[in-house]
Amino acid sequence: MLRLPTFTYHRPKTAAEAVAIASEHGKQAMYVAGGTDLYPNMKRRHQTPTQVISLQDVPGLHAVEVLPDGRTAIGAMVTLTELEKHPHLLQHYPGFAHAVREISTPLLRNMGTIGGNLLLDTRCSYYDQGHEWRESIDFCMKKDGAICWVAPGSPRCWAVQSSDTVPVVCAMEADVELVGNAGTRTQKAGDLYRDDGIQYLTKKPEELLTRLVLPAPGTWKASYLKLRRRDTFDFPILGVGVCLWFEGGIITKANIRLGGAGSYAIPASDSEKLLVGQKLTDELIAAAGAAAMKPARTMDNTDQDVYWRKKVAPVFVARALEACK
Amino acid sequence: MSYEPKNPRDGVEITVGYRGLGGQPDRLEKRTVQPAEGDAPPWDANTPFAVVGTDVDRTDGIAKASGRAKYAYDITFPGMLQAMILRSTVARGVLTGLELDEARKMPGIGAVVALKEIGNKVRFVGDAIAAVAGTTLHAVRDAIEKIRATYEAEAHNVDFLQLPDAPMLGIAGDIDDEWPADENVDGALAAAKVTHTGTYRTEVQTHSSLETHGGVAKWNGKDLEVWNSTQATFGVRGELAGALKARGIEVESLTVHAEFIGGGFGSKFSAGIEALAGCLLAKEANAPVKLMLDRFEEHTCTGNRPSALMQVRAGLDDKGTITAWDWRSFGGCGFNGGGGSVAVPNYYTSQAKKRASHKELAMDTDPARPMRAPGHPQGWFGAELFLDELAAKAGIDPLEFRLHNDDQTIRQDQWRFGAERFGWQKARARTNDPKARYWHGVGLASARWGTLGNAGRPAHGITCRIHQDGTVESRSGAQDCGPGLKTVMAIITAEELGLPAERVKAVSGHTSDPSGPASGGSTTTPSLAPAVRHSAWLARQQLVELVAKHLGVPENQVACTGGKVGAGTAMLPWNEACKLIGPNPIEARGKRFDNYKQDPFFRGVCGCQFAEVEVDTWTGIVRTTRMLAIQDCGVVIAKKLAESQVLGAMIQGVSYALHEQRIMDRTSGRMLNGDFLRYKITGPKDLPQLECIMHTVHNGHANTSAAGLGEPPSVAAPAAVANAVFHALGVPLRHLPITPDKVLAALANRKV
Repeated sequence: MLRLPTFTYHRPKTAAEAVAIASEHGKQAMYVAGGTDLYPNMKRRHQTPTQVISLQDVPGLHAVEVLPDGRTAIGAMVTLTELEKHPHLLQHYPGFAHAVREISTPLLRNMGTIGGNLLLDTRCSYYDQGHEWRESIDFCMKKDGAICWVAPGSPRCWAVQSSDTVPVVCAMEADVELVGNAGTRTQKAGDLYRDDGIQYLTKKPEELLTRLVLPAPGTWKASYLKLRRRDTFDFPILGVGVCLWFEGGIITKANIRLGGAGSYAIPASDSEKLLVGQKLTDELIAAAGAAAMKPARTMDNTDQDVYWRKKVAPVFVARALEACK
Repeated sequence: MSYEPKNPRDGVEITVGYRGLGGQPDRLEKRTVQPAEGDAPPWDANTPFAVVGTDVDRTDGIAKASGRAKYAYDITFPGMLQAMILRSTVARGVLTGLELDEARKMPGIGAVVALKEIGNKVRFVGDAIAAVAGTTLHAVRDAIEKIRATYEAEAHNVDFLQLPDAPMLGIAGDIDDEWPADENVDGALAAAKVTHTGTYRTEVQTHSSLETHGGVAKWNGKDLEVWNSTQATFGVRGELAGALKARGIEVESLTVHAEFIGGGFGSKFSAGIEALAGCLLAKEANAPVKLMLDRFEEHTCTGNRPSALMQVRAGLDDKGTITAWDWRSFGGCGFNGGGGSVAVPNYYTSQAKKRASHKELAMDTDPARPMRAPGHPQGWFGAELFLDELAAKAGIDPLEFRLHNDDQTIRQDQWRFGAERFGWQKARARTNDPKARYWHGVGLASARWGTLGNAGRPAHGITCRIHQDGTVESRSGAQDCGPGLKTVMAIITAEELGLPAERVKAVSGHTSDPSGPASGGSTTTPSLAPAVRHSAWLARQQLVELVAKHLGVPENQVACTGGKVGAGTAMLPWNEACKLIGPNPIEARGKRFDNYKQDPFFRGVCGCQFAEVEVDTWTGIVRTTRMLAIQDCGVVIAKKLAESQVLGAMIQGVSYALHEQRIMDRTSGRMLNGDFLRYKITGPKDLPQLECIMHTVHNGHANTSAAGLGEPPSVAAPAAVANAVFHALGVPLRHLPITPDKVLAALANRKV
């Protein structure tokens, strides 16, 4: 039976206080927002914080606001349910709103937050198991062990980036705001992630993600397309986030990110290069899709056949591009 | 309704058979049957039912939906301890050490029992080693971690195709071994006009009951009470009594309760090591103990439907009749090498020279347990897909091919009716534009099952009580594991007493009540319906006696109808009539008599299903868009629940055809997808539009003529989906589940 281990629960009243508690306890501390990722992981002993810091009472994390320059700032604690129904987001950021709606189930979206989803733990068949299960194979390198069971000769962990919002947020070049001991800093969302199944985030452990800031609506279009076995409820086994900037019908910039295909949302650079300076024709879409096969680095550590997942990447990239027409 | 109170000695003439569905012909005939002395007179095709066969709601529906229904998982007592089982981490070997003392000393621990002794064999990952009970699951978990179990591991195998006895497979996945010579079949194949061969595979499916196995054990001196999630209350009672006696534990009385069960599908006949462990822990701790398995244990330690490898070759004559049928199959079983046998339809091949062989192959995994029509979904998938391939080769429409070869009249009528309703001809004639992204296809498959229930030894019974306040009770000690025994009891009792079904309070699942069968083989309703009827009929006679005396009319003039009891214009409302009963309720013990010796109209049940799929040729993803089932089950008692059961089987069939598959890690011998996140079951958004038409057949084999329904609809569904995929793609996919990678591979290999 999976049970939560005991821990101390903190409810700081400000971001600075939260950061202070996190700094004090170091590796023993973790933030919790909706708890839909952290608590199941704690039950399986993936994460074993003795100090859990709730962000419930921290002001400024619970609102969606349109900034004077037209950008939209979303507090880290805003629930996914709120986002998927938000009129401003539905009107101006349909690709992002769609990605939010594709996450998990309504029940989990009621609890889950955008902050939690952006920082979602990476996943793997050999990692997302109970403690006893993992112990019996002597664990894996992501937690408590030394080997990667997916690629036993590999020096690195291949756990999979599995958030639905990350690919599209990275493609849109949204910003994230982080509060640390030195104050608040802003960076591109794409720079928050790195290509490693274990150290998949670049931020310092005590740094608190407070806001996601989406670019002002303009001459760009973004889309997200999710591949999973069942429409009812599944993590993505491929999640394509696309953002295209247009000028007079010509693509001036193209970002394509492949989620669920590696440890971070991988850029499909060859496809992007094909698009820039062109009109988005059916032929171009097909060509750009075809060029997305190579970057998808699928491993046999999630649902469905590994080669098939790579094979359908072009189809999904093409369809995601189609949605930006 | 009023009857002669007794069956005439020279037999009763009844009308058996059925009324045609849609425009199909009626098939009714007269037959004389001889009911046993004392049994209620038989219902037949001319009985004017008021409640039977109508849309009565599930009697416990509100209780279940509102959470008031108490499942084994919900049972709790003051001072109750929680328990867990330590399970083996090796797939095969010997237990070489087991140190329990440290666990016993842990805080909050009430009992620790060994379930294996040093030197015992360990047979699969998850084999039970020891059990611990304590005040909280946290305490138990901590204590479990202190148990030192050591093993001498041996080489294991969790892939049945890697076993030395497994047949050789060619590159395309076909069995490469030569067929042994057989004069009969070889001759028929040589003489056939069209021949075909194919190899088919299915994967291990787990039962995936929502409520896991386990329960609560509570001792009161030498009296033991057990709340268990089981499909066999009386079986569990017998099994536990035997196991405790074998361990020298004295039991004076043992009562099993299973009023609500969260699914079983065949995995919950046995008390299992978990129920025994609960009793032992409760004894040692001198406190009630709850032991429920977790989801991983449920997937890996409580049985499964084994995988199958099947090969068939067959031949047709120039009329399209199957003249040769050669079948061999292999079952991928658990360590005991049992339960993997495969069943195939026999009603297509009555004109054929036939041969069949089967071999069980034992892996180092959890043993098979019966699962909803054991062996049938596997075999029907292989056989029905093969038949579609054979028909395609001979240029015959699959429906025509079935109508030509199926020797069962009931299904012939069902095929015709179903095809019309489904729009078979039009859907089948549609061709896919090779350039279109989505391709469509339709397929069909047959169902069968063969139970009319049995009396049980000693005969099963039902108690019917009518109280002074008008309350009616119907009680069975058998379990209602979901299909709706309680609703069936309420309906039959209400029919007999002339009441609406909601006036009857049906209770099941306590072994203090009269015995019933295990809910397996689709036998619960056919076995118990006649006993329910008999109990209500006896109770009614007692009430009629009182009312006749009160009104001063002969008993044979008294009727119970429309909520009233009386004769002519002197009809007493039910509650007024019941006031005559007095403080002691009318209590009647109904009995399940043997089925009539005379031949029934039909010995089992038929059925057929139609499916439509949409294949995304870009990705290979298959969606089932529409399904229709035509299903009989003798006399349909609770129509709404019967339909619900068929729809459930169709959903389970879609899930089996497209998703479900146990994935084993060969190195560690463990299940990789032992949870509901990775063991994929069809979800609500992936369901097709489902329709079910129930078909009442009066078999005339007992006083109510109900037949079994649990398994038959699960036989056809996966095969119908696979045939629809074959139609859509033009190439068969012979290995379930039909995952998109297999579809894309098949499309790539397709001869253009």
